[in-house]
Amino acid sequence: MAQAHHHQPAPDGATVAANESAPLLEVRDLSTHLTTKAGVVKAVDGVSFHLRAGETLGIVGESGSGKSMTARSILRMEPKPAAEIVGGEALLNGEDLLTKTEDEMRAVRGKRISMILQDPQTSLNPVFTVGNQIMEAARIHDPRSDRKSLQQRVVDLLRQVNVAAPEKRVNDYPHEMSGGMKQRVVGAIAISSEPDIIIADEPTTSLDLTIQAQYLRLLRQIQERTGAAIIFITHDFGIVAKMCDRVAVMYAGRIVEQGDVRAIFSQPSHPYTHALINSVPQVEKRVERLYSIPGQPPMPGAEITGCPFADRCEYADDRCRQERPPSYAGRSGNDGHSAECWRLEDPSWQPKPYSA
Amino acid sequence: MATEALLSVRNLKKHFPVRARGVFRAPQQVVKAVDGVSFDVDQGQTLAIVGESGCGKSTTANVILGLEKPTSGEVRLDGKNVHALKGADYRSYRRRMQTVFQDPWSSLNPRMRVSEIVGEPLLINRPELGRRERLDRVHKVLEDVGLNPQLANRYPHEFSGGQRQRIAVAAALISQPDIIILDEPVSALDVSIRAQIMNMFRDIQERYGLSYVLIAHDLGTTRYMADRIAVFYLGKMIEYGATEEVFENPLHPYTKALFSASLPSHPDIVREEIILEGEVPSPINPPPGCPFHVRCPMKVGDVCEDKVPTLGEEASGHFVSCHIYESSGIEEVVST
Repeated sequence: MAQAHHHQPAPDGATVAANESAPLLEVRDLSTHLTTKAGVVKAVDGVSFHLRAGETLGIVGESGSGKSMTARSILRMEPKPAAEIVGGEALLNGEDLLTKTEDEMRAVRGKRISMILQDPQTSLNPVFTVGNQIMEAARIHDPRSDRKSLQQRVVDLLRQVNVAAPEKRVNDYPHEMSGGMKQRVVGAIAISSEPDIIIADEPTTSLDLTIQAQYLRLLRQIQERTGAAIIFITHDFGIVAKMCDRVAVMYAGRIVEQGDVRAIFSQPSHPYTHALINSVPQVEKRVERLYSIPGQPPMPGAEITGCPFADRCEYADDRCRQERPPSYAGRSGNDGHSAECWRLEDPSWQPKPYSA
Repeated sequence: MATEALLSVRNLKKHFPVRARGVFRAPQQVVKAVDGVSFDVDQGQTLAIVGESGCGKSTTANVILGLEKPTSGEVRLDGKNVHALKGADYRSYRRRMQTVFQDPWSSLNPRMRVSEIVGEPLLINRPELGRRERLDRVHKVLEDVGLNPQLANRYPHEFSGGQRQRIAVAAALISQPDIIILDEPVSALDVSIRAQIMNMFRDIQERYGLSYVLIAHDLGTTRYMADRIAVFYLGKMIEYGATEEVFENPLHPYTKALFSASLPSHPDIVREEIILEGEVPSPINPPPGCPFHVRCPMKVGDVCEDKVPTLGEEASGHFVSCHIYESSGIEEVVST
């Protein structure tokens, strides 16, 4: 299943540092199963992707697609005992995270890979000052530092995430801060260990637009200042379009398409990606009628023999329902653009254009 | 606003008192949730109210629905003040005005069958109907919203989110309303389901000549669904006009910032970033003058802090409340 690794220079305007060496994170054939009352759910079903240093990858999918479970599995934070990683590798600089002991993982979580939640309300402790909470994170990274230098570090971190008058704000409790300020504090905690990778997991409910814009700008600033790679876990193609260099589209536990963000938006190759992009109403122009995807995503635990999208796909044939499609080159022809769809066996295949 | 619209809202205010605590009670404070808004909804049209949390859009919807009494101002349906209606007139208004909520997981009673949920309003609105006739009507509306009537005996938990939203729409539709208030009707649904539901709303609108008041924060949805748009900020309507006109030519600095913060539909679309600092101020002590001046990147001067701008017509049917446009000698909207 492991694909050849393609390394190409970053597209214009992307924040990728051209890196010809091995990727920072390489996930191969990751599978995580969930045991539920209804049976075994293949929450993550043979997922492979990579992330280069400094790059921004979007993992986009609907609820139940396995996007969050993929991120949690890499961090070995899958909800045990219901969830179990049953196969694959997640190589961080060549070391497999899936075979590490719990102690070893503690040196990875929050240090080399940290997680940032969009909703700061749930990630800060209301009974400690924000300075205290950032310091705790900084101390884990640098346990030998004395209090004085840690305090200095906290102020520096707050300054890095653009908190005005950080010397004063360290004594604030979370409830004394605005939502935007709290977001920055969460950002400061996330970068306190100078991580290589930041995972930004988005809640399903969306924030107000201007607050979301502040959050996205904060992540951009963090990336510019620390050079960390970011993995966005999102259901929103708009976030992908705005923030990401590359994107992996998940459906029913699988990555059905991945590639450079421009290739995916301009020449989506999996019928699911193509339909989804065409079914989202645009701010830029009013389409006469949106394409609407029939049916609904498969129920978790449903037995899927072929392509998981076959039941909703207007191009599906018998083989699609029976055999899982392999990964083919995407229509853009770009290196690294691939999709799991039988139609792509024919390199000249084009999905129908939708909506005017 | 010459001829009377189907629904017209005039100078609507809804203030909530905040109880003062302690031995020495502080002077009573009020939250000005809605503070003087006026707009029209024409028959067969969709008006979208957009704005961020706390802008007053849901309170406005509640007042229109009759769930709250206005502090002042009027909501008129066919020219009649709905909050003065009594008896049969009042019941008729409640029938003509229905609502569909955001979350189809909590808006349907899990202990009732679909046929009961959808048919229940008929017990009140059409008590003369027999069981058979009631069921026939239930089946008819289920078909209209794209559900198989044979599923009418099932319970809500047996349906997906999109199907549940269809059930909620059927329950609103069965009363033959004139207006349905759609409060974030697709934001709780999966992305691949949303287009189905939006298209269904447009189809039944056409078939029934329905009007919608759409409460939304997603601007793509708004542009797709709405004929007219009202932008709210801190209890005030700061811009109002035909959807295409407002999207193509937003006037108020807040509207511009909101549009600039919306996510692009393609990575090659790069918008000018107008990032607003801070958050919406508290509606308990809204800033004097223009409610937006503390965050406004285009302040013209002291006038913004001192004087509340009036809503003026800047282009035909396109209204804005901002001092930038006040000097151009536009007339004030007559709002009574």
